[in-house]
Parts: sequence; structure tokens; C-alpha cells
Amino acid sequence: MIATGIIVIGIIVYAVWAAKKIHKKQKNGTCCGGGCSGCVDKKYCNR
Amino acid sequence: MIPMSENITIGFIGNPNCGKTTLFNAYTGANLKVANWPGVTVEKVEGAVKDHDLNIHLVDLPGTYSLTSYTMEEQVSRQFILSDDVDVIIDVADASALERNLYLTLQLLELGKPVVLALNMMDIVEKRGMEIDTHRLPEMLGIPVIPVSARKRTGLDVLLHVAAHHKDCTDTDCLIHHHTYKSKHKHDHHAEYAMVYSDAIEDKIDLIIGALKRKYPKLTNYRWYAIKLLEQDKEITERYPVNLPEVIDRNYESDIINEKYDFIQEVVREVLVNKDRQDALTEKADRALTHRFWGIPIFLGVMAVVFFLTFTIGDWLKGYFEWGIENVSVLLGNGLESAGVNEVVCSLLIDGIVAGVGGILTFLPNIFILFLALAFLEDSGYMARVAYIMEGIMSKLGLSGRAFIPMILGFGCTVPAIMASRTLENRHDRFKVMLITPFMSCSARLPIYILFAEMFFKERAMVVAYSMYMISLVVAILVAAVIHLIDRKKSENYLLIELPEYKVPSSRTMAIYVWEKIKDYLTKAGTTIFIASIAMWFILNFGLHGYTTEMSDSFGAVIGHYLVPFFEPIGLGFWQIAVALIAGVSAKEVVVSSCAVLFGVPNINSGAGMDTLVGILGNVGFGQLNAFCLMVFCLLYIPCAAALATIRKEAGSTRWMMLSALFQLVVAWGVTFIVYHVGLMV
Repeated sequence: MIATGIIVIGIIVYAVWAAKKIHKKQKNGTCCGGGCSGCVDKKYCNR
Repeated sequence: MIPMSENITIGFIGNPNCGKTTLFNAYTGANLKVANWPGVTVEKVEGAVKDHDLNIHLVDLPGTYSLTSYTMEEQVSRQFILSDDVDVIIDVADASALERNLYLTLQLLELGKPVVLALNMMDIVEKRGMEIDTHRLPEMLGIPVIPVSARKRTGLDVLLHVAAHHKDCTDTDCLIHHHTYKSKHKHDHHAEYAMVYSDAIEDKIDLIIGALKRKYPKLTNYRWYAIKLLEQDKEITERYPVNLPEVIDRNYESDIINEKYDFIQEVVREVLVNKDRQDALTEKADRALTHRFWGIPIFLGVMAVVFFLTFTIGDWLKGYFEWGIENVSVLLGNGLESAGVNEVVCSLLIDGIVAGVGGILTFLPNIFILFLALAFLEDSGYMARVAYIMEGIMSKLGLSGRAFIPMILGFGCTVPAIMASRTLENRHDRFKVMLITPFMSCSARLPIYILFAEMFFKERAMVVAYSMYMISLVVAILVAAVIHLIDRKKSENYLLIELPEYKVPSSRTMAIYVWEKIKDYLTKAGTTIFIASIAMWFILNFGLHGYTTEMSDSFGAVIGHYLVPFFEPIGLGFWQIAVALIAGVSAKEVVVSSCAVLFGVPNINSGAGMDTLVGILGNVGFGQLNAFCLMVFCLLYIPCAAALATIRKEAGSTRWMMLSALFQLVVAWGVTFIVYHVGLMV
């Protein structure tokens, strides 16, 4: 029962994080992170 | 002396393909994509670097040949350079093509802002036996000139240091135009400006400056505005009109350009020793690779080799991944059972998440090989030639060879490909390119081809997968031709592309390119595919009466049965396939992960997994022709959600995005219908 609860909570937390990441990626112009130079005004490459 | 903790903004500007982004990456540690064709950087990208107590804000701008902005990317550069946001401009010039690069330099000098000229690619200059007089060049231009090599990371610290020191320096004390020159003009402009025009033009500039000073007393750098008014620059003429019809009696743009090039010739004569010699190997290779008749067949042959490698080497590596996923699946199952985890949660983890996400991960080796090959072709200088050889076909379709650049990028990912349409000069052509680019077969479709081609076509799998890429090219070109026929608004576009020398690709550039793609693929597996797999598991295991082990009672089956009539005429009238295709709109790989969940095959990419799936599909009457139709439909139908979002952003219209999606769907349905019915007759 405890193991089931932990796994379900883990999946929910991870799914929420994944959904947020997808949303952020689409909002920012999709290929942010360096794959292509498509980000606008994003200071993501601070050393 | 630089004050403590000062903030400065440095903008990198230069011609396309002069190494700005490589320089930016070297400073910031960023991994932005670099390539040897225009349109790779289409937006300004910012980064920060700390040098002693100086906070330096770096901005990489899209490449531009001039500040007379015609395309969107050129406008981005011009607007930023003109704004007060930039303290120093680093003009990155390809030293091996100094003559062409100095044109932008002269335009930047006229802006009256602090400019430092970075002579990049000095290693190539040396290799070719050329020499640049780096003492005389700053004398003639009146700005610091620093030789660097972004690729070899030489001269970078000096360049940044000089830029920081040059921040407040716009005077031209160091300007020595001619050592013994005595000006005959009423104003000795040679003491003030590097670029001095003929007396006739200088007189006009002086008159316009006078008028501007009276009418716009708060304006700075009157000379630049005066030159732009003489060139009849649209934006400046509208914003700062002056009533001088006898002075601006015509467009002086060509006169100004010619005089600038006269000065450039003078500079080059003085500073360049052993002027550029075309590399003999490049010349020889180009005779074949860009040949009028052989160029395109050679390109098709090169792509065939890419797919041969993707399949053979990729499949060999794939085995290790399958073994890994299989073991994870078994271990997880045993672990969950011994921990007494609920049956439904076990099913979600093993039949949903591991089957979906794990299934996609096994294609990683193929994706790796594909991108490694594309990176090699790009960095060797070949891909720029492809745009050049396609110029003939594209111009017949009312588009320039420039339009083929987004299409080539589309082999990798549709998103940057759509963004690269910004390199086209007019909106009308951009929209055309945005319509045809999603037809190019992106890497996300590759797992679908590998899976279905290997399942149903065995030893001919590679040829079938390759045919998808050929179909994508043919459909994109045919659609462009049809649009060209019905389009009343024709425009002329010419390709201006520098063909770089062939070289052994840089391992760093290739590593960055491949790593970013792999990272993107893994991120997609961990986010989009993860959520899609859970959603798919949910609609297949829950129905109106809650949890069900009978798939036919599930929500998925209900939705799928509603969709069957739409897919029936194109040979895809199977409810599971219909559900997988709808899910595939989130990301094309989801079609494969959905099949894994839908058909309950945990290791779908393994030999055993494929045999199981062929058996299940065979039982419902899904054969070779249906598999081929599925691949064609996946190739052409609505691009993924990320691509749709990019279309909306680039077109600035939700309606256009919807129209575009509908258009792709109609074309996909139509082409698959033809393929299916022709297949039935054969």
C-alpha cells in the first residue's frame, strides 16, 4: 500500500514537471537550450 | 582604467557564415548551433561573461551583409545596433574574404558607435599564404582591429579586453587615411571619417545634415541619417522626412555602394598581401558536386548513403539498447511484484511508461547516426551546395534556392526549419515556405519508418525508408508548384549564398550538433512521450465503468471506432492505428510509443517485439500495403505540436496555423489515398 502510494505520487509529481517543461519549451520558441538559435531574450548561457 | 563592476553590452555583428556564433559559443560556453549557411541564427541570442570586475553582456546577432534591411533577420540586427542597448559593436569579419566583409564594416563606422573589427578565421588566411597588414588596416578604418580565430580560440581575451576599453571611444584620432593626403574639399572629412564620398555626395550630405539639425535638434549622428536619406531608406525617410527635393533628387544608393566598394578596393590593395586563392580541392570537388546535371543525383546518392549508415550501424547498436530496456522491464516487474504494488499501478508502469518511453529510447542509435551524418555534411560545406544546386528547380516554383535551406533543415527538425524561413525577403514567400517545410521528413518520423519498414519489408526496409525521404521531397516540390500556379502574386528572389571551402568537419561543432539533438530526443522521451504514454495507457485501460482489462470497452476503443471511417479509405481503418495517429500530433515518435501501449508490446523495437506486433496486426488484416500507407500518412500529416506552435508564432496568426494544419492533413489524406488505391491495383 505504501509502495503504491509513493509510486503514484512520484508519477504525478514527475508528470506535472514534464507538463510544465513542455509548456515552457513551447512558450519560449521550442528549441531553446542550444539546439538551434531560436531563443529570444533568454539569458540561458551564463557561464 | 575600467571602473569596478561595470556592466557593458557587446553586440556581435557580421556577414552570414563569418563565425559570429562560434565566437559567441567560445566566450559564453553556450552550444548554439553553428553552420556554414545563412539563416542559422535568426534571432538575437544573449549570454553573459565576467571578465575581472566587468560584467559583459554579449549579444549574437543574425548575419547580415548590410544595414539596409530587407529580410527579417537583417531587421533584427539593424534595430538592435541602432538602439541604445549596445555599448560596443564587435564587427566579426571573415579575414579570408576581407573584401566582402568590409562593406558592412563601413556601414557600421557610419553609425558613429564604438566599433572593434575582429578579423576571424586568421588560421585560414595563414593556411592560404595570405597576409593582412594589421597595422595599416586600423589606420585606414580608425578603429581597433584584432586578429582572432574563434575555432582555434586564439585572440579571444585580447578582443574582449579591447572592446571593453573601446566602449567610450568614438573619436578618430588614430585615423590616418593617407599619410600625405591634403583635402581639397571645403571640409576635411578625411580627418573625421574613414569613408569619405566624392565631393558631389559629400556636398549633399552636408546640406541634408544642416536641414536635419534644424528640424530634429535632438538627433545624434546626423551623417548616418543624411546618408540613409540619400539612399531613400524607407524607414528613415518615413521617420525623418526633410524637404530638400533639389538635394535628394533621386536614389543615391547605388552611387554610395559603388563609392564604398572603391574605398574597400583601396583598403584591400594596401593591407592584403597574396590575395585570396580559391582552394584547388574545393574547385575540383565543386565541378562535380554542383554540376548542372549531376548535382542533384549526387545529392540523392549522398542521402542514400546517410540512410544506409543510419540503418546498418544504427541497428547494430540498437541491440544493446533493447537488451537494456528488456532487463529494466523484467527487473521493474519483479521489484513491483515483491513490493506488493497494486496491479493497476504495475500495469501503468510496465505497459504504459516502460513500453512507451523505453520503446522510443531504443531508436536512439539510429537518431545518433542520422544526426552525425547530417552534421558531417553540414560542417564539411556540402549542404550549402545543396541549396545552390536546387536554385534551378526552386526558381521555377517561384522561390529562390534560399527557400531550400529551411527544407534541408527540415530533415533534422521542422521547428528550426520553419524559423529559418525568416531568411526570405518577403512575407508572401515565407508563408509559402512555411506551408511546404513540414512535408520534409524530420528525424521524429524515423522511428516510425524503422519500425514499420523492418516489420513488413525486412531486407527492403532501407529502400522503403529512403523512399519516404524521396516522397517528402517530391510532395514538397509538387505542392510548391501547385501554389505557384494558382498564386497570382509572384515575386522574384535570388539566392545569395557563399559557398564555403570544403574542409574536414570540426569534431567540436559536430559533437555540439549531435549532442544537442540527442539531448532534445531524450528530453522529448522524458516529457512528451512520458505524458503521451500515460494518457494512452489511461484511455486504453479505463472506460465508462472505470478500470477495465478489456481494451474493447475502453475510451480509446470508443474514440478509435469513431475515427475509423475517416481512415478507412486510405487503408488505415483500424481503431488502434487511428488512436496512435491522433496521439502522434503531440510528437511523431508517439505513434510508435502508442503502438507499444496499444498492442501491449513492451519491447517493440526488438526482433521478438516486432514479430509479436506483425502477428497482432496480421490478425486484423494489416499488411505491407497498410504499413506503407501508414508511413506515407505519418510523413505528410499535421506536424507535431511544437511545429504548430512555431508556425503560429512565425505567422503571427492562429488561423494560419489551423489552415496550415488542415492543409497538411488534406494533402496527407489525398496522397495516401492515391498510394493505397494504386497499391490495391498492383
